[in-house]
Amino acid sequence: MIINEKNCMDAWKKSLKHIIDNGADFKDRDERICREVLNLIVNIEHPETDYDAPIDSMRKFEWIYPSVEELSSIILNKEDLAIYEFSYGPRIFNFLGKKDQINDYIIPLLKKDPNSRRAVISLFNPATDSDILNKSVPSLLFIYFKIKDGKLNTTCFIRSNDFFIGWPGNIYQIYLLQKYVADKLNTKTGALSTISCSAHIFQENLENINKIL
Amino acid sequence: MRDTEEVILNIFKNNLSKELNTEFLVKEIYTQEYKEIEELLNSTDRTNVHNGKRRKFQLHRKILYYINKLIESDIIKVSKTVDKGEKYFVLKTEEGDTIIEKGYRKIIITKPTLSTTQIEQYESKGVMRKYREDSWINRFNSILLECSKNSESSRLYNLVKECLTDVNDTVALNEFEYVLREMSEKEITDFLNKICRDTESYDKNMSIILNIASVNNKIYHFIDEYTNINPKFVNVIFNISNKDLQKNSKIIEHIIKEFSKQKIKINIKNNDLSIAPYFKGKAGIYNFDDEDWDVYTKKFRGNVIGVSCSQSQIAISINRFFEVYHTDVEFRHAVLNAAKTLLTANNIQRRKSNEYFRNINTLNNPNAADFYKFSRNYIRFWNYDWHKDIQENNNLFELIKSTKELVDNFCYSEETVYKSCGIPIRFKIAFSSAFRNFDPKFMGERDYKKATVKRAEDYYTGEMKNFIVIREKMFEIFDGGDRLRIFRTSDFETTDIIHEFSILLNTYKIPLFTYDFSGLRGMVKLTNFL
Repeated sequence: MIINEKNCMDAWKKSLKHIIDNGADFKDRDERICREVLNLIVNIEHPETDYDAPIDSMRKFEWIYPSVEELSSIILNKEDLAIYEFSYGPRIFNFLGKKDQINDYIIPLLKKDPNSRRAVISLFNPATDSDILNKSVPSLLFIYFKIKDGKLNTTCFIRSNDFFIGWPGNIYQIYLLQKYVADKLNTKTGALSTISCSAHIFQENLENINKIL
Repeated sequence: MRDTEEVILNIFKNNLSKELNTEFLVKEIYTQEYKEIEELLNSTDRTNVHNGKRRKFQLHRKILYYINKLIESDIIKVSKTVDKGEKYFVLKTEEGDTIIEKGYRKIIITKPTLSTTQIEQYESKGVMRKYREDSWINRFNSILLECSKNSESSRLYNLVKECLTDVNDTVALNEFEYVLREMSEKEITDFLNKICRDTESYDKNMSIILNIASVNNKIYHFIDEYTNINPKFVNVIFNISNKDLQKNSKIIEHIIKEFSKQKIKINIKNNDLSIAPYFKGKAGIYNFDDEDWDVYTKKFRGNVIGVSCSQSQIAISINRFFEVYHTDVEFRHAVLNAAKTLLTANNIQRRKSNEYFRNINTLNNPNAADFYKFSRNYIRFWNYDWHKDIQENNNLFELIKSTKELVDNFCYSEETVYKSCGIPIRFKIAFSSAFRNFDPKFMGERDYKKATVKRAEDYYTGEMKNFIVIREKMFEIFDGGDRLRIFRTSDFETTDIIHEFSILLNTYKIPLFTYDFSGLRGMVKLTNFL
């Protein structure tokens, strides 16, 4: 299924509705009832217009949603904080303590060859993540950058995606990274796409999801 | 000259959670020179030692000159003065970002901004209190060090000293029997003297955890030295199973004899009920979840120097709460707000973890993340109507139980929310009772019924049975650990007390109990121990 929308809020609502209407239920390892669709692709034409709107919506509920400072720090801060088992920032900007995938690869690559199809970064490390005892493994696996019509388009590949709670945070974080790269390349940001292998919601959140819809 | 002041400020910046003394600063700033001085001081030549002392004094005086200038400029202040007038200093800054640039290069110092809006109203009414507010975010609350991996005397002492400045309540030394095996009697005495002095200087607690089944003969020396010092801030937890009690009766008799003579409390953890360590701080009892402890011992023990037990904590005075507020709904709402405040505190700790917990991270390198894996926060309760009987208390049980479920759900939801956003956090809150030393001013007088025992038969009275059953029920809710305190009065034979321990270990589900001999009149009969 492919969902195409102009902005983040419309894309989010349409995706949630799609999962409610077409998803299949199962129990996860914490015994929670999960409704899931496979391989959901969401294309947002102008993420810059409302990339923070979904997380703002999440703040209306009883839980405490991560602050924008923490969300941005997780994706943009290369410092490996000991308190996290893993964090996206260090995997992007200092993979295995060796590789800044953005500044030492993506940006020089796209500056040299704006039509390149090799601009992909990996957040998954099989050496540590492919371990059945490991409970915390990144959901965001790869991010692909492509310049088209003078704009930087971004596609990310997410293995497991809680579309109600997690997707708003993911979109906010990925857009920040997209903007960071676009600024370095002196281009504008273009479309943002997510490919979610397991796009799901939890039954316990249905009431709140209906409030969003 | 200005450069030295800037270097000092940068050292304070890198050690925000610490109080620093002149010696620390001298070592940091004049590293090479200090090494040379240490060599002179360790020399057997008297002239060299004299020269070393003279040069050390000169360096101290030099640093003090700059420190005094920074004090005059209102940038740092004396935080405490300990033995022989030794002074400790801290940055004199307000919350949030402080930029010092008057005459210096711009130095940005970040102190934690305390977001406490959720509990301000309760704090102002005197029903809720954060533990040691000044350091409740930028220090660990309690940590446990593994003696099995650090039993060599100087290494263990250095670790302890390092950790005492990184916690705001307690450091526990687990499996201290390894230390007894490794250290000589003289080293044990020196070690005890030093930690007793340091805990008083730093105003921190320490728990020594001993598995009775695994101790060697040096336990007798340890007990004699410990009871002789009778330390204010160092307690001992004896891990015992009922089987150990019979097998090691000679050691236990010695413990009872020496502890009761000095009126020191004996803390017994029932190993048959819980595999995880329990220990005692100023604020209350600490423990680990049994399942967590199992995972820790199987997967992580040995990778790290120990493990963080708790991060931050808040106490609620229940009797006072219901004098101000009146409904269960208000109570649940208040506790949930305390949980939200702890979440906010943990968020700051996470973001600043490399800054606040730098030393601990270095000590655990390259497995620093493992140190945090089993840490929790605490909500503690004070004065919860133990003087009433079980029927009257039933409502309170249900209220605390349902509130615990609410808080557990909140923690689970937050972990899920954060994980979904790519932030893999651990956020757990344990419930427990508070000790008066959490904050004597805030706590006020204790309002509860004392459990006094004069002889073993007292345990078979209906009143005592009821009392312990209530405590058993409370232990089930207080997943952060609790203790049953028994005041032992009247003369006794040591075998009487062992029999009483056996009743408690065998009959009740009480993971930790304390025998308090403060009610004994005068000395116990000498014949009791012959």
